[in-house]
Amino acid sequence: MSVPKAKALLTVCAALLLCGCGQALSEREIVRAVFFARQQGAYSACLLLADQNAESDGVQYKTASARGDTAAQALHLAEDALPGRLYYGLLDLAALPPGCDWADAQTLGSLLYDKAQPAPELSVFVLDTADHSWAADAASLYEDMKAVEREYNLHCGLQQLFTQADGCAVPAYRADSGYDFALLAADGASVYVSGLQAQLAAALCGQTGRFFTAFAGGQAVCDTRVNVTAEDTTVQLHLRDTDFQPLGAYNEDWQALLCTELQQAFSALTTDDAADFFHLQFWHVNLWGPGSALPVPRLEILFE
Amino acid sequence: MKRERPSLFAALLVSLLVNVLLRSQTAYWPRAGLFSAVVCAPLLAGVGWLFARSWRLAADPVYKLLFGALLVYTSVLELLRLWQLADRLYPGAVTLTSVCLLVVLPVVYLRRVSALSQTAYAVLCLLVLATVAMLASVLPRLCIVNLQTAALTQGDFLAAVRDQLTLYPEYLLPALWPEQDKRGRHTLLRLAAWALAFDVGMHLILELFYGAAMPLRIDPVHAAARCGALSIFNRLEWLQFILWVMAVTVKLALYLYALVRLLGGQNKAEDSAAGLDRFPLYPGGVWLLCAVLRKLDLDAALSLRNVLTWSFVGLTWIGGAAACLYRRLRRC
Repeated sequence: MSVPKAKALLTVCAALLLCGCGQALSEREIVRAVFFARQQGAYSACLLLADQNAESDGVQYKTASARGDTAAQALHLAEDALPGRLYYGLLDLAALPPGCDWADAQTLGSLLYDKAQPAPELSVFVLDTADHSWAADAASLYEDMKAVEREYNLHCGLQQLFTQADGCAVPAYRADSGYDFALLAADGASVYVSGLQAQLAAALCGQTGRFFTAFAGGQAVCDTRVNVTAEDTTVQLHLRDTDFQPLGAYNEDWQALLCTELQQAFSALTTDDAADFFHLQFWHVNLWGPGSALPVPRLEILFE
Repeated sequence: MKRERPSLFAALLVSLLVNVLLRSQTAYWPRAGLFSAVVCAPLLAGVGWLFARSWRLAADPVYKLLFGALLVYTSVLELLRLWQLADRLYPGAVTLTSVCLLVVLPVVYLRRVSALSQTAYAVLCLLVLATVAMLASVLPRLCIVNLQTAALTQGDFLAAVRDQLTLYPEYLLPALWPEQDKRGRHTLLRLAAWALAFDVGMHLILELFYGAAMPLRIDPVHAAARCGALSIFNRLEWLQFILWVMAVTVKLALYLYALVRLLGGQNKAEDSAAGLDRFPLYPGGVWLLCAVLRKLDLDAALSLRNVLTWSFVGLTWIGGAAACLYRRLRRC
């Protein structure tokens, strides 16, 4: 071996050692998703891992799960069940237990925040209430949730659990179509909404840029790009490239029907003021100062 | 081409800016910080100016020794802070010895003031570019609605003032530089203004990023950099971290230059460098101290450093005033 080659090899080895890459990649357990569920007062945690020893092409997954009295204990036991060193750098999805409240979301969020280095912007969902077998369902749940994100242009990062002191809003997974939306107030009951109301809530929280849902009692489907601006307590909903698809031989004024339904959904969402989920209080305080009473918010729908 | 009078302003500025970037937790809300910075920047500049005046009158071996000890103590704290940060971010990957070698060995090239000055300008430019790149990469995650609307209390302002009045040795170092005109005009004021403006700016960005969770987040700047993704760099955290290591190296080189001026006598040439024969004393001593103090509670140690710096400045003022009084009495 010539001298320059030996030097180059030594340099590469030194660099690898310094970077902590001395460990072979196959010995690392690459975590792609973490699921939590609550069963009879105990927590169950499931780690979905990339299976690097799978022989077939494409991405294959394996799971490791455990139960514990607390979420941290369950996660720790699941980690212990794996032989390799855990790597959370490629973690991109976390699912909170079905029906979770604000305190749960904060606890699990903080736990993941510590674990998920270096990926604190992973997506968060609340799991549906159906019974799941982790070994059989975890991979499909992961793929489904990622598909929902792509299809509905939806993203709720882990960081968003903490940006407001009085509550947080998280999309909730549902197996059939679309998604639900969980409004978790710190000092109030958690509210789960679905359908058009869920998509409006997601848009108002800045978590989606698209409406793709059935409305008018399932008579038509609306597909539109959505953007929200606010002026004091008047929320302007800008709908662009709106497309209505009737699901039967109906012929209605779909635009008017959608507007009516959106107004109803907006009223329902803003009646409960346990937390400032849609930042209406923020804009109002910016105009009138802290302590001023919030008037009834108004929704203005603009088709562009 | 070597400049005849290399300015150390960039080195001082880099040393101050890296304090903001390596912060383990945010200290105040930016609205309060903005108001307090207007008061604190001139105050810090004034303290530095008064120290420089007193130093010329009062500098004797005891003061020099005290200042030297303060600089060595600060060097050790900087290394420990970087190591603890690396250990939190990449547990088990980086040892204290490797951090010491990584940071202190390049100082051998920065022993001359001209090399230090040029490197500091380069690091400053890189730091600005990396910060802009990081900002661009996390821009979609900076939300106006994350700003807090709660009315500020007296406690918020006090917290901001307390943090901004941290007296770093960098405000005192220009007193040691050989020529007054080399410092440029209003050096201390510019230094304090840039440092505090950067501090408040970073706090504002972090509030836009973290919202209500800002005060709770550990290593907030690095965690924000982790979320950034550009096409070239998958995550910008390593770029940031490497630059921070370079900035700490510049900081230690600056302290070494100050130590050479303090303990090597004032009559040395301006572009003097620590002799290579004595140089191993510095990294060796710093590494040994780091190893001894590795279990140190860093927050308490940094507060203690602040108290010690203020005490030292107070002592120098008293010494300067006494020397001034003595001269006047002698003239009478």
